[in-house]
Amino acid sequence: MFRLCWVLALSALPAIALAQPAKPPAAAPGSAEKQPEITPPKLTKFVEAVYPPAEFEAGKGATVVMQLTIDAEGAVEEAGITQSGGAVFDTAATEAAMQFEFTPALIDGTPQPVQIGYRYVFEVKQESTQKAVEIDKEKPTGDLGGILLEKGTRKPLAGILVRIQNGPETISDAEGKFRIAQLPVGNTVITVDDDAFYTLEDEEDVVAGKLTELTYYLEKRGTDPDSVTVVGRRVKKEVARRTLTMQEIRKIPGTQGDALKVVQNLPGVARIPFGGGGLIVRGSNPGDSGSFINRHFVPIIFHFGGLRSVFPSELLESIDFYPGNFGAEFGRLTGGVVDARIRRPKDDRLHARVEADIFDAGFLLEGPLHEGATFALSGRRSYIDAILPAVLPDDANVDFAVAPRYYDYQALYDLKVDNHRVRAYFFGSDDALQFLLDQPVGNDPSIRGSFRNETSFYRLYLAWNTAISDDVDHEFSIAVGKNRLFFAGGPDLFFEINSLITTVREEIEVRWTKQFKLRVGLDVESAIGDIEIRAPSPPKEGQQPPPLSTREILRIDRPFNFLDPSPWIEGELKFGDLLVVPAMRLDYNYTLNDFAFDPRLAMRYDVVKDADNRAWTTIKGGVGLYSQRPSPDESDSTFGNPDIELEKSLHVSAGFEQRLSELVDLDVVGFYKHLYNSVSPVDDPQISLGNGGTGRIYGMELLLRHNLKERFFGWISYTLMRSERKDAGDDDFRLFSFDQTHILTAIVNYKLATSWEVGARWRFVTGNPQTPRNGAVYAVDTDVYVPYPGATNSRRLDNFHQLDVRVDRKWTYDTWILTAYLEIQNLYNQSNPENTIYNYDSTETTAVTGLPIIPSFGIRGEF
Amino acid sequence: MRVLTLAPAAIAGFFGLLTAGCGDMDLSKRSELTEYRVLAVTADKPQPAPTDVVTLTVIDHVPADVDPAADSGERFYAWEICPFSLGSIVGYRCLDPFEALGGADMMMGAPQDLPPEIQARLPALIARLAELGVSIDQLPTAFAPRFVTTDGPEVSIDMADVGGVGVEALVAICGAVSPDGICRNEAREEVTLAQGWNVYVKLYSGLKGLRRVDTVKVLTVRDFDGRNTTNPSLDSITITAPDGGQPVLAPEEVVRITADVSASAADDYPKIVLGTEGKVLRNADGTPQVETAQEDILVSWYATAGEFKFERTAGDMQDNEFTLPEEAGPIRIIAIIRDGRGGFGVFEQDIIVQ
Repeated sequence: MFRLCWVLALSALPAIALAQPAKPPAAAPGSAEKQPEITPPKLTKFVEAVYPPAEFEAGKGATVVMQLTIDAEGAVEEAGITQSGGAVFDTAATEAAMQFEFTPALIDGTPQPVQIGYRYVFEVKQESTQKAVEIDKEKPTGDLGGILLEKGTRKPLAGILVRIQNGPETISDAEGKFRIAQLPVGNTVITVDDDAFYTLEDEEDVVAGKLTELTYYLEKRGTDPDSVTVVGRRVKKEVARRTLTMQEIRKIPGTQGDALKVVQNLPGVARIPFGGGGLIVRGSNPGDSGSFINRHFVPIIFHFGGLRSVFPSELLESIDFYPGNFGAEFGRLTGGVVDARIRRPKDDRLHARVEADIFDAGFLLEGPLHEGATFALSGRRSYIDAILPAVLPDDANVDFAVAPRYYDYQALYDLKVDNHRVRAYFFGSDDALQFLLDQPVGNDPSIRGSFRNETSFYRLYLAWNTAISDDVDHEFSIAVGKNRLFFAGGPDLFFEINSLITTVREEIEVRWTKQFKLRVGLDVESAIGDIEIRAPSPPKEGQQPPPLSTREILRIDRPFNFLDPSPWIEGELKFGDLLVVPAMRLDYNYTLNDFAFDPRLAMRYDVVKDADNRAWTTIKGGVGLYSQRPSPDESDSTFGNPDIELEKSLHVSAGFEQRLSELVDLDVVGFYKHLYNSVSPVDDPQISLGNGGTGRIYGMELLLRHNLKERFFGWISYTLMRSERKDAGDDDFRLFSFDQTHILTAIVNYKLATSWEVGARWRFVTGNPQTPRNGAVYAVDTDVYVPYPGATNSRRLDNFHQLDVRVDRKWTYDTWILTAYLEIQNLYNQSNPENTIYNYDSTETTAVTGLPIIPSFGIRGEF
Repeated sequence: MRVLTLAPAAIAGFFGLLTAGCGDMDLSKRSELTEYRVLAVTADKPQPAPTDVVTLTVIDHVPADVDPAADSGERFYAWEICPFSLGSIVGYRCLDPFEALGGADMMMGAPQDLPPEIQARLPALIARLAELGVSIDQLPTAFAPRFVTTDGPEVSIDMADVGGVGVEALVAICGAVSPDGICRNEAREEVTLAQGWNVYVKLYSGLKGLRRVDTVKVLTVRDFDGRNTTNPSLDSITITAPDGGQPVLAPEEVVRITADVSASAADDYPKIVLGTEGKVLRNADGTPQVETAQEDILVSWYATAGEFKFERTAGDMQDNEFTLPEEAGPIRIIAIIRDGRGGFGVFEQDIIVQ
């Protein structure tokens, strides 16, 4: 006799990852931004497939991978084939699968229909091996039992076959436990076998009348396609929201695994020169784009302007990047939005992680706290302050009192009770640097003496989500904390802002019908603080800052406060395959006593769908108004003009998404942005700034992406763009300071074997425009040469191109995993010009190039 | 919410400078005197009174290989006296009166075309100008620069004639036409004659057909207790071996060089106290509040050959290092001392590299 052997490859835990709504679930408020909490379905009734007789006779086996649609009661609604094992095997597998029963999947605590991947393996085995040994009931027996855990992570492995050589077999339960009773005493061979793991064989002694307890750690074979933590699988409603998987993020060369730095590799994002921070999105100023954590604005997202993000990637659930045409829930910005979402700490057991690289070291501790509650604690501190003074030469003319150092910290608490969820987060960041220049450096004699910079913030974030009814969800969140910015430089510069910031968001979502959903919200920002500045007026975009010692020092010292409420409303209307999202936002600005009505509209239409109702071709478009307050100095009575108004922009974009295969997607978007009411310099000594600036930005973005599957992922991101400004009505349009005509990024990552991965990133970017100098005038009293600026941004730096590579190696031990990586930036040692420097009187030039070939490495241990 | 990015940007820039800084930095140095240079413009009255006549003198350097008798080697000096400047951000361009105040309308005698805020202030402005002996017809030209050429490195400027109306009138005009009636500088600070009014003097000098150097000299015209600044003096420079001994002065020898700044070089001076909005703080009797400040001494180093470790030294730290040139022969070392308020001193020393 032969027997049929099955393997439940997609066991419960990996299924968490793949579980996704079969149709839009009843989403919580702000579903466009939030990740739902998913409890995956668990198999409660397995039905063995009928082995096709001819194949059985021929000894043929096969693997069939299906996508099962499970309804809210746990019944299988549909079984679609995603990897065929042959027609007859497909039929047998789907017939069996249709009889499976599961516990319902819970999304935010509510049973919901979902889809999961399921692998069914047909394997022919000799029945004789099963029955070769007849158990002699007269002889003494013992039991073998234990638990199966994934090597390294210690995840319980459910549905794994455990066999006794020439004896019985069993399957591990949902907790990974197994037990085989009444085995003959003495030595016996145990085999644990599963396609997703390396086969494990072990010899054990069965002891009469006793249970022998075993713990087996199974090592994964290669990349398990189902272990990918896919984030951002929400109903898309924006024209261009781009979401990355955390597994992809970790492996991108040149980012040191930093999730937020990865955004700089997406279409629409200009390359920032080395040492610069911020995001330049679709040709907007860096200050026109904002960073949010759980949709609450944070003042900085990177330590020291771009060195490392202030929130650890490990605690992020997703990062949504909106280069334009974002929804009404975001405002006060005319550029783009990066919204990082914090995940719920793990609740299965205690997890810990420590890591270190060339910049810093950190730790993470997370796990269950009590019923329904989880926690996480993490922190990170740099050690540049220990290394830099040691490598600087003795005659460097700089003494570090506080060499650059940063740290950040996070404490998370997440409680779920019935249909309520309460989150309390406390997080913050602190950067400091102090040095002493013994003598003046460069062209400017005022650049000397003691320099100190401190940048810090912290937030206490509280959120409460609840389902008021089946169709109404509600979320209230508040973030309270302090921002501190301090800079003292030499004898002249001083800058200190201390402020208590409070941001409040209230959102309600009502699902009137399946075709109509309404979201309303209130977004409030307020601040109370003090500001003291002694500094010259900062240069505007396109201006070259003259030497500090030639500038008049402006002084202010006063308290400030504001309360800016912004109500918004957004609808979602579905007409078949057409989704229309009209929205309106009202922004009031207390400081300027100005307000803006910003209507917005986005549309998506699924042109081609497959039998599983998955869109293969989608066209999309959006139009909307956006407004923002000028930067605080621009509306200041001393530094700028208190009578200026809100800056405005019109965003228009249209494009399409084309699925080229199961794994390859193409996303193309064309865009146009019109900037108006922009703050720009006025040639008037009494009123330095006005709202006379305009701008136009147009181009297209392309993202060709091979999603992570098996061993490979990668993408090609390309932006073709032109960004121009006009400072006053009669001026001609000129190039924006970060106008980059071509921005091309190609990223590939390949898993060579279980423990090795290699990746590469190649970038090509058009050189930034620069304003040439037409000589200089010698300011004899201060001993500096003041450049005569040429036509603004009328010359370009040479193009930038660079190859970065990365190798990852993983060592999996029974109870923990060690990972190390080596990154080499600028592998072919390209001398990329980052800036132009001049001699003392601006008659000679040379280029400042970026970093040469630089290796870096990191190491991480976790359990 | 948008945030100020001034301080983080400055730090990021500095950090970038420390860690990047790659590239060919073989640019000519400011301390190397290999071509025509202006080193200083001294004034006999560094901070003149509104009625003073000031004499400016250019301290310039002509390379030894230039023949002063040849046409191409002849020095030239052209001066532009600028009552109002738009500041360093535009290379000290003089204010165009027609752009600034609708001067064309004024010249056409059409005050009704003036901006409303100026029209409203016109009667008070006319009355104030009358007190100063200035007619309204002079107003549009009051900001226009004057040009002078001289054969030598000296020029005399009458502060009572700057802008055709004199410095006192310029201050009055500035206040009269400003939106809030207060004359303010680039820093939005209230400008008074007690605090000082800046007259910008641009100098275009050089060697005909070879090189032109543009220079701007700021004369702060003050009328305050007669305690304006004086020119500092640099008595000597001392050259020693690094250990303090006698230097050999051999090629490529590194020597210690110190500017011997006299104790009186840095004047104490009364400084007008400004409030947080840049407004002059006044005592109960209306006089400006003052505090005592001290000038900040800066020494700039030049040599016809060789290399300094620091191109400038500041304050009390006047020690420097100088690497003598590879080739033997005579070289000249020049040190220029500044007090930060318009005062200059010069010291020159010739040495022979053995």
